[in-house]
Amino acid sequence: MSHVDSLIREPLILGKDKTYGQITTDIVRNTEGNPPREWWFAFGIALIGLLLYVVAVSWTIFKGIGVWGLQKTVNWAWDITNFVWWVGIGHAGTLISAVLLLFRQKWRTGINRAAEAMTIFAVICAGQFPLIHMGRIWQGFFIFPYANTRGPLWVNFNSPLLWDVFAISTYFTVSCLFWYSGLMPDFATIRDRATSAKRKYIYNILSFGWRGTAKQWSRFESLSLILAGLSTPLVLSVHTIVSFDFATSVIPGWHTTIFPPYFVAGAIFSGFAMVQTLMLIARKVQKLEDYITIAHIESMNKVIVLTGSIVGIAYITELFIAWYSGYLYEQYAFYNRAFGDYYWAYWSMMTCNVLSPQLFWFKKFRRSIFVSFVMSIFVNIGMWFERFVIIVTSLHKDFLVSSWNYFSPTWVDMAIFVGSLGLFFTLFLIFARTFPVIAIAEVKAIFSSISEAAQEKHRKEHNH
Amino acid sequence: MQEKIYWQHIEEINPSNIVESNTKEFAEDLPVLQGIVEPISDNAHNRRDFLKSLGFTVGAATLAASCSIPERKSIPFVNRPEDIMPGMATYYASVFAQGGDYVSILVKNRDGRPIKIEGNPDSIISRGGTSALAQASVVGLYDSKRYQNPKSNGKDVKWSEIDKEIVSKLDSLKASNDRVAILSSTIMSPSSNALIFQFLAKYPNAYHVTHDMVSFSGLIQATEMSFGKKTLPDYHFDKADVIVSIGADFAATWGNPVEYASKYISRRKVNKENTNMSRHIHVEALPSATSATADIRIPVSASEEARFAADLYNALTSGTASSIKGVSEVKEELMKAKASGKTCLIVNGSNDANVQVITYAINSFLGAIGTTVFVGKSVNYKKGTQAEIDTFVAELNNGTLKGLICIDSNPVYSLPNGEELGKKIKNLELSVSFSDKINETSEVCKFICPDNNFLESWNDYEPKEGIYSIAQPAISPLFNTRQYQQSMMKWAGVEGSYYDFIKKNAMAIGNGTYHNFDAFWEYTLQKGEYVAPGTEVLTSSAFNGSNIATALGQVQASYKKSELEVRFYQSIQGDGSMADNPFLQELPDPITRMTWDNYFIANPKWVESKGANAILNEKKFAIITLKINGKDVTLPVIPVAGVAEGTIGVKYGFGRKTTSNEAYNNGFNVYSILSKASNVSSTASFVSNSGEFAKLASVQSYFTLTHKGLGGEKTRNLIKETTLSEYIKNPESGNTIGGKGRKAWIDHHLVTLYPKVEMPGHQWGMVIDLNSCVGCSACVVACSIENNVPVVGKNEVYRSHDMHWLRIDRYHTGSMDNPDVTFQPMLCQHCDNAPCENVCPVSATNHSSDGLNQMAYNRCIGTRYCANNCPYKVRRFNWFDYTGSDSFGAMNDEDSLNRLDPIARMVLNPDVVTRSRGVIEKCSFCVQKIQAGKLEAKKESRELRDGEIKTACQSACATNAITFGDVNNKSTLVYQLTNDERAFGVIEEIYTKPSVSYLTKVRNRDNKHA
Repeated sequence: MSHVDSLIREPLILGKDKTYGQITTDIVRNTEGNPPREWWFAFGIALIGLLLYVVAVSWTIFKGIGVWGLQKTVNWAWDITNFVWWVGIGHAGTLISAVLLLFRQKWRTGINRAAEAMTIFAVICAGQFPLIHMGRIWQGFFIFPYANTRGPLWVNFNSPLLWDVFAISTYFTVSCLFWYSGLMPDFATIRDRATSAKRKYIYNILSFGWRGTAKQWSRFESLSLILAGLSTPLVLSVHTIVSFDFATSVIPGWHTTIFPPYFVAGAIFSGFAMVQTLMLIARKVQKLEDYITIAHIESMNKVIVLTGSIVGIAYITELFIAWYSGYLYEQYAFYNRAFGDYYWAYWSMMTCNVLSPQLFWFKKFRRSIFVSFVMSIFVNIGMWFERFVIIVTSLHKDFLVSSWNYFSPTWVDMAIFVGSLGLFFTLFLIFARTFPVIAIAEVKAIFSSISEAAQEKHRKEHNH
Repeated sequence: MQEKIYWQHIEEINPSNIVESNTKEFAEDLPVLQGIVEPISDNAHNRRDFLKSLGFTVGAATLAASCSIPERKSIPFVNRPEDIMPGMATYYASVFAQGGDYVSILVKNRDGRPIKIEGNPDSIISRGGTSALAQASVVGLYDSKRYQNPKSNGKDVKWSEIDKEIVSKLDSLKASNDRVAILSSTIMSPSSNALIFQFLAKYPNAYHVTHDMVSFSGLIQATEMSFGKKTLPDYHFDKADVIVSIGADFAATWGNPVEYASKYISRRKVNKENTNMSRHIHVEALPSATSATADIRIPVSASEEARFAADLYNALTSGTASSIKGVSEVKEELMKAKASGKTCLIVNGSNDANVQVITYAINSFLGAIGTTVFVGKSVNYKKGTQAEIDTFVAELNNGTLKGLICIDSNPVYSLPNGEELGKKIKNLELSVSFSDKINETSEVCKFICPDNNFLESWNDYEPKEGIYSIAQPAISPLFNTRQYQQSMMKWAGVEGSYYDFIKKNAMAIGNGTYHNFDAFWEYTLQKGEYVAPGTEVLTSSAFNGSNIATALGQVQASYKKSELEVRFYQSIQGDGSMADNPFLQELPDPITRMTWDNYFIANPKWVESKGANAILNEKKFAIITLKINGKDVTLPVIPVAGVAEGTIGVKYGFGRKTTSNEAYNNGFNVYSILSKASNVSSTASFVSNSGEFAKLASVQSYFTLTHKGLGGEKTRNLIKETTLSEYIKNPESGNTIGGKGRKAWIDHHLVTLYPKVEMPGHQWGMVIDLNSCVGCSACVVACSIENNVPVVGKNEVYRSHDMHWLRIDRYHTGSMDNPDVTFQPMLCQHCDNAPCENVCPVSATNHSSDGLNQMAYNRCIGTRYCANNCPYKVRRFNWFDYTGSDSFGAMNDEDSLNRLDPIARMVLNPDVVTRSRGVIEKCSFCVQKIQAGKLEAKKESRELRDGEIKTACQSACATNAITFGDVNNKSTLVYQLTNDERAFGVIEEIYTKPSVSYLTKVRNRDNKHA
């Protein structure tokens, strides 16, 4: 299980006199004892957000979708914007755990647990919107292809919305499995440290009775690989399918073949930004600076600048193709995006997503916690606007000039969005106090086993 | 003999046991306290426990289940009326007459309830067409806020009591010889007129005043001055080669628009065989629906519009040059027409007798009298004259008048200074209102004798001399109301019923035409209209030009151009008497596309100069104040392209203060500020811009001129136009895509890898002729009523939640000052390659084998993906529970429009389901009518005939702009039109394969105007 460090690389775990026991203590400490005041404060705010969400959603279901700002021309706006935004955020976790596992990127172990948790919570938030945006949520089960007594009454397999149902549910299931299977040894660790019988009992059940035998570890590793293999195509497929919601339509600005890769890059972009936001807070609050190091932040920033640039290229390609197509409606749709009624949304998107991440070409900024944090917020805002721009600016002025209209949200639209953040943070904060936020078993695997003295000697010999 | 006892168990024959079980009902102790006092034994789960839990469960389930879907009652016939078959509609010929409109109608009855108005194709006046007012009128019947009993001094009384009170008042007024006025709107009914005559004979102190809300006094007076006959002239727009309208919106609101539009458009339809299209020049201050179809439109200010006829007359007769733009152009056109022997027709929207005398003079000069304009047989659409009103108002003011009887008139609302008059009316000794609903006048009247709705009444009509029609009731009175004629008969001491009275009158008319009177009566009742022999022969008296010089002088003196002028106009929403009709309130104005309000309309430049620009994205319009006739009027101002510079428009029909529902009381009452009831324009001055904004319920944002693409040369493929001369050269002219001819483009570009979807049997299609649509919007109301499309109210329309399945899009091209306007009725295109269908996750919208894009409302879960993906944006979502058909009952508690009222719901069409909250709905091509037509053909074992199935919009249309039918059948008209060179599909290049085709608009003008 030991890991050999390259001496010229930064160590993945910092801190003097770290032992395996110390690692366990550092991480599990956060689930033990009473939560600190900051946690209660944050949790209180998140709960208020959740309450707002419940109120706004109940009001919507009670009165009808008319309480939103939608209208005859713009039939989707904040609802689907939020949906795509959350799904996008939900991409980072699986990418970090699965793709980086396959690529043997050891640094992922510091952040994969929290990233996966974030993925699951983001997908939970995302999954709300296709449901609550339905006019008749109580008939929502119609979207499942279930056997019924009404003759050959099936769902429409041509509809991208149906593909969404399968894509999101599959992604959610596999993510949950992946996340949970990774948690089992760590739950066992918590169980073993538990002092109260109740705690022992609960974590024992959660760990599925993990004993840490060689056979179990071997199976654990195999399972990780299999699930990683299963998840990897999902990382690409989920957002590809989400992008089909738009790409398969006829609306100028939606009907675009570039959408699948562009959406996937955007999703990774926004997901990494959200992981960054959460990690920067978590490492500080939970005193995990030794495990989530500046090197992690820098790696994340590299992914952000890469995916941000891909997204930027996609934006510019769209503009080019609109001009090159010679097609009036397409041209107008993109002209309208940049210079129409919602120009401010477009340029917010451009600034946040394309221009500002370019700072990360400079090492100084990549390694600055403050810049990283601000940038992660910027990217999250920018990516929300990207979806808003795609959805609303394409719809509000499409083919028939007579139907052109302007969309403005109502308080319910806003409350549901803010409330969904409340839902997300409620879940995440509960997670942070009850689950090990860093994969203990995995992070131990990258813990340098060479003693400080040996390292020092080695450095001297090689004149480093 | 002792009876045998059959027993089955030993206890039954054991007396002691029977005694015990009789005295002790519960043989065992009730285990009530078990578990509380005594411990539950192991075998405690006995039968009683089971029953207890069963009881509890059933009770709880009952309780839970009692929050059930609300019960809806339906009452079956006990004895089925002979001619009513449940589920089958019956039609009764009748008449809708209101504010000058005369529409011969068929009332569609289902199970004893009138639910829809259809045009009567046998009418020689309305020729099967209807107006928006006629279509909406059926809703008025089911207004539960109608008066349900006669009222004396605000209290419900019996008819016998109120009759006694009124008659004693009438008698005492007669004894003191005090004046009593009978104020009515135009009465086209010969029997009612005869009745009023008898009433006046009984009460010689009374007199009859006719007051039309939108008056034609000037035209009637001019006819008297020029022809010696007090009537309206008979215009024949179909006989005119050149039509010049000076401010007369004749195809939509002026005179009897259904008749005029139908005749006018009959000469505006072109095809390869017939290119004999009339030329229409429209001179006006405010853009109107009629001018949208004009070939040449000349914007002039309101005073210039009034003077235009005078200057044109001078130019024509003596070649005098005019300062008014356009006079010389119109003169040239007319001289050319005259020289080439073409027939001309000049109509003038002015209500000034002098202007109308000059208009007659021009008509006479051009030889129109006796060819296109006839003053012979009287035309009775409007009869009111200003002089009568002046006398009435003077007598009311000076106290000579002691009694007032209002028949279908609302003077407190519709007369200048009405509110002041209202106070006077309140003090009259006798004030009677026949109004069926509360209005400004009935509120101040002592006696309210509610009239029947017209659908509950017998009546007769003589719209034109020689044309006689009977209106028959389609339902017995819903409330304790009485036809006003019946009340008048009672008071005048005329015996019998009004029905007998009509019949007696009809004897004189029908005498000798049929073998007996009954045959005449039956025939007329069934057909709706009887045309006396010789009516078709049109003759005209000679024009007497003796008044021309005075008229010219007076016109020049009275209309001086001022800096700001205001022109009053009427829109298709009516003159205000039907303001309590939600379908009319929610009907978008064809030009401004506004609902539920009136406002100023002004030239955009003027609006900008006053800093009163609108925030169009938010539908907010600046509120400004103008001084008109010495009174400050504060209203929002809408910039409208095509309004003449220096002129402001404001429409009648709004600003009602007392209606059955507060929701209808929007806008400003223009009548109250008129200097004379007959004025159509006035000078005005700008007072201030309040800096505040009003939210108006528009359905189409303003200023959406056809958009040019980047590069400038490409235009959206929505509207296609050509000129007549181009059309004659090439029938496909104007019908291009990407600069190429349409057919060539389609053959070249619209290719697909997918197999062609075969539609054996029928395939439904529609063709809409852009040349024929005058924007009158009768189809919109017809569609809403036929298909139970809900009215959503001002705020919902403001939020763009309007539900109309069919809308009339208005497009502008050209300059801001004088743009071309084109109407495009837009409805579900029933695309054969429909973008909405493949995106629905649950297949709630799908394609039928006969080409219909169908909606299964029950299957819809409301993702609205289809609405997003519809390129035509015709799908409508039920944002709230508008119809009360939600399975949870009415969640929408704010039913301010009384949609859920059980009486209001009686108008719903039982063939069409109401849609619940959260589902998408849209045009179905009136699938219920298609099914009914197919069934009818099947029953008779025959093929469907072309034109047998008519959609609601099609049958409402007065100009036959809409053709519907089977495009698979090569003999149908719709097939021919679909394959015509003029036919095109809107944005068909995205390969939606729409089933609705439009025919290019052809304007009869030189290219210099294009």
